[in-house]
Amino acid sequence: MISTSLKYLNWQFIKKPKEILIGLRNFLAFGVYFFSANVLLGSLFSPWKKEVSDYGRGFDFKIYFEALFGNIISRVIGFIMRLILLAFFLIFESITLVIGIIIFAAWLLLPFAIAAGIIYALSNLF
Amino acid sequence: MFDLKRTYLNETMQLEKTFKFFRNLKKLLLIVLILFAILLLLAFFSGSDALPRLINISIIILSLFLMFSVFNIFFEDDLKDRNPKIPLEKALEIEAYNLAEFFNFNSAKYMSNAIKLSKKSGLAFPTSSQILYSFLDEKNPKINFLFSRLSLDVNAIKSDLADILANKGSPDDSKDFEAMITEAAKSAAKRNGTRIKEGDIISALSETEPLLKKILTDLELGREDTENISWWIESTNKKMRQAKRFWDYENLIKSGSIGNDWAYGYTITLDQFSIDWSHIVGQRGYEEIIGHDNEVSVTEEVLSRKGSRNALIVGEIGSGRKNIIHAIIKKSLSNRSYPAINNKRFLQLDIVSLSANVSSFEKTEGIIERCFREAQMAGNVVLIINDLHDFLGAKRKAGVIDISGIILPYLNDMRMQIIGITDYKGLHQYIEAKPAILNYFQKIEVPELSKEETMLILENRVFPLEHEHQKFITYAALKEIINLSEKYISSPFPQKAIMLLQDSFSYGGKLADTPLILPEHVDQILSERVQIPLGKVKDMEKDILLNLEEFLHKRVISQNEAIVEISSAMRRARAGVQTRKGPMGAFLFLGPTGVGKTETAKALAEAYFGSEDRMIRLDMSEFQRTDDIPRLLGSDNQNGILTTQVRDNPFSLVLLDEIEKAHPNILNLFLQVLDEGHISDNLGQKVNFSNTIIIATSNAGYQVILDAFKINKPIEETKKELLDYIFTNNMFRPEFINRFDGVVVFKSLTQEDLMKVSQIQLQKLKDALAVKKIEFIITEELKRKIVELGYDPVFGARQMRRVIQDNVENSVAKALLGDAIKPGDTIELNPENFEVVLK
Repeated sequence: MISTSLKYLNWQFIKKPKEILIGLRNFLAFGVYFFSANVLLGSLFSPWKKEVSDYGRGFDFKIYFEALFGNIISRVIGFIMRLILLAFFLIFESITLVIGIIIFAAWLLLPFAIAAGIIYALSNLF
Repeated sequence: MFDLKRTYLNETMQLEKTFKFFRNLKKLLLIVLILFAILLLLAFFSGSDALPRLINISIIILSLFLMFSVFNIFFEDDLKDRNPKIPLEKALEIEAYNLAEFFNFNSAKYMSNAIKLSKKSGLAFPTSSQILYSFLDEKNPKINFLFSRLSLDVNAIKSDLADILANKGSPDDSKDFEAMITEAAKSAAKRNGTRIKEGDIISALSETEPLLKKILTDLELGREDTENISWWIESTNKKMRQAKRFWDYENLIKSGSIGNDWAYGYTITLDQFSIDWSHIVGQRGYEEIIGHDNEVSVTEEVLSRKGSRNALIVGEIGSGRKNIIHAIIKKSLSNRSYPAINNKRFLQLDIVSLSANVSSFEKTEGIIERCFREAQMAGNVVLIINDLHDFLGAKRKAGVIDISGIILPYLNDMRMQIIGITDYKGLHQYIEAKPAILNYFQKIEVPELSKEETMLILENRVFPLEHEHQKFITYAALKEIINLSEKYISSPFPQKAIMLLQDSFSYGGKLADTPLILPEHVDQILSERVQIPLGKVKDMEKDILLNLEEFLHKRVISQNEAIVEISSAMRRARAGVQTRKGPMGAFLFLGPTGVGKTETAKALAEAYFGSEDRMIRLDMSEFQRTDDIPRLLGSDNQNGILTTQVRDNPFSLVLLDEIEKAHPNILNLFLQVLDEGHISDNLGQKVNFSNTIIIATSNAGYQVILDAFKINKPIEETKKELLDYIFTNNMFRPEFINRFDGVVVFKSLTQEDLMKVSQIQLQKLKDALAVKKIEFIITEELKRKIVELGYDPVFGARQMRRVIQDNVENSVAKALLGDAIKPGDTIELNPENFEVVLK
């Protein structure tokens, strides 16, 4: 009986919470995968959809500046678009983290909540 | 060592009843909770005073329900399934390790029952029959699955066992109990299991428990088969468990990603003309990819190295080439590969559909060029080109275009990787002709999967097919698919077995009278396809084999010893007594010309393959130089006379006439055929001879036979003398002669034999005339005259055909054309002048 009780305590407060944390980690990692956050961060200032203009052979002031302007615009668009997606990523991760923490805490508190519920209801009844 | 009492399982078994009670209580509480919820609603809307009281009672019920639910999860998740202290493989190495620790809960429970049974019968340990009896729990889905796949009835076996145990009819093998446990542990370790489960115990018992062993032996099954089904059960369970765990990373990433597209370039054209394998493989989730682990890791290394990172996957069609790519995609999707591969998009350029959709050749080239450029610019694309050889200068045909010029600049580009898929023929004929392209690829050869791996693949494919066709396939039928496809279909595993499995279900769908697919159904399908009776030696074939001598004697006169030798060798080969790899049968026929060697070969082809047209005849006098080898095996410009014919007709008799005239190097080629049962053609493709009968004929040393015949020497003595003569004169090397199943000596024909030959040959004319309603009487005098004219000790009966043609047939033909004979007449031939005489 003592051994089973100890096993229960280990399961309730160590083994299962660990699993919940692993699940939470999976969801957070999935967020990184789904929004490709690492790739987006790595290419934050890259031209949008890798669309770049060619500077051409030799040096032609007009062509050079046209290309430079176009490429800067492409990079700015790329930066804004990726930033938007990264913002969604952060929102997703935050919500996931909050939900994860709630589940984690709820699991840890569940035995106490059950006991408290019974005591509270019994004291109200009698 | 096995001691359940010293494991956590002992305590769990004791607690099972308590937790079962909790489980039932939980169910009851749920019902009560629902009732209280309804009461609460009623009290709430009616404004009853009892509401606070009802709320408090509901809180208590809900709390108790949650408590028992948690206990229930705790029992299933923790108490029943605790990780062993060390891995099973290690425990097997330690002599006194308590293997009971590795049992799963159900197995431990059954084993505990078996121990109780043994105690009742006064034994220290249970016997194998007592263990089996305890394990035959018809409520256990795993046990049910195992026995139903074996087409066995759990209840019937259990009742038979009960009778045996009650009558003390089973042997006391309790002393072998611990050895049996070790064997079960080995079975578990073999399937990479961490626990000893029901299937492992049944596998071990299949070798020791007399009743089970007998039943399985009768079905031609054994431990290996129960182990296979055990793997099947556990692998299916694992997949089901994993699929339920929605929080696992592999399950979560099934939805794909959106951000990747935002970081890399557009692939608008490429998307239109390609197949997105990353998406397809991602959707499949926990699909298990079996075999070719080494090829997968080599391909990963190639795709992620510095410099040109292109892989050329070379293998026969159906050997699982694309599965290698699928395995890499799976790793890439879950970030388990190299950085250069992780999260890449694997797109298969669909040049065939592109060519079909685009009208002009120039436009097609333009689009392909654009696809390559997009893949390069995107920076996250691994481009797959199936049948690469078709697009590198192969002959022009619909949907085929030469992309050699387009692909070259992209092969050394760090921004993209290319995977080409080809077969050996394509590699040798077309890709090797373009070394500039080939040099940028690293070849990865894909070998055929083993029978065992193919079985696992079939098992993985069974459930969807069963669901679709509403049929149940037995394990014996799966085994038959593997064995028959190995023997009778020349393409590689696993594809040929998968195709046969699908055909079996299509065929099974037509069978209204049975819900099962059995081995005989598989035999039936393949028999129809290859036109050869298969499986258990079918009645007709059995008759032929048992009466082969009689059958051959219908066409071949005399040569009794030769025919007996051939027939016995064929029976040995066909009944599965022989285990060698070579052809079905290989014979060397030695003897003078015209004694029936070729006729025997024709008769054998007719008896065995249904028609004498199933004979591939090669005149070996045409292969006297080594330069003739390409004609035999094929070259770039021509098909091999031998290899092509055998590949097209694998069930044939190969007749090598006048083998002594062939070049010794050519004879060496046949050494491998006779030994291994295959030969490689000029493209390195194996040609399988295992379904052929090979007969080589030779008149080497015929003089010895003629001399022996004159003095009536016994055939065995003649054979010895003949072989001595052949070896002394270096006509054939002993290792060549030894490769044959039989060296058969054909003796010269006597006058009496020749009379019979003339009868057979004249009978053919008689039959032809009978069609025209003319009766032809064959007289003894006519036969004697033909023998007299046709007999030649050197050429045997060969001249006789000519004599009949020149004299008898000519004469009858003239009479027919001159209207000298008409339907309804009876004729004879004058033996002196061969004139037609009306009777």
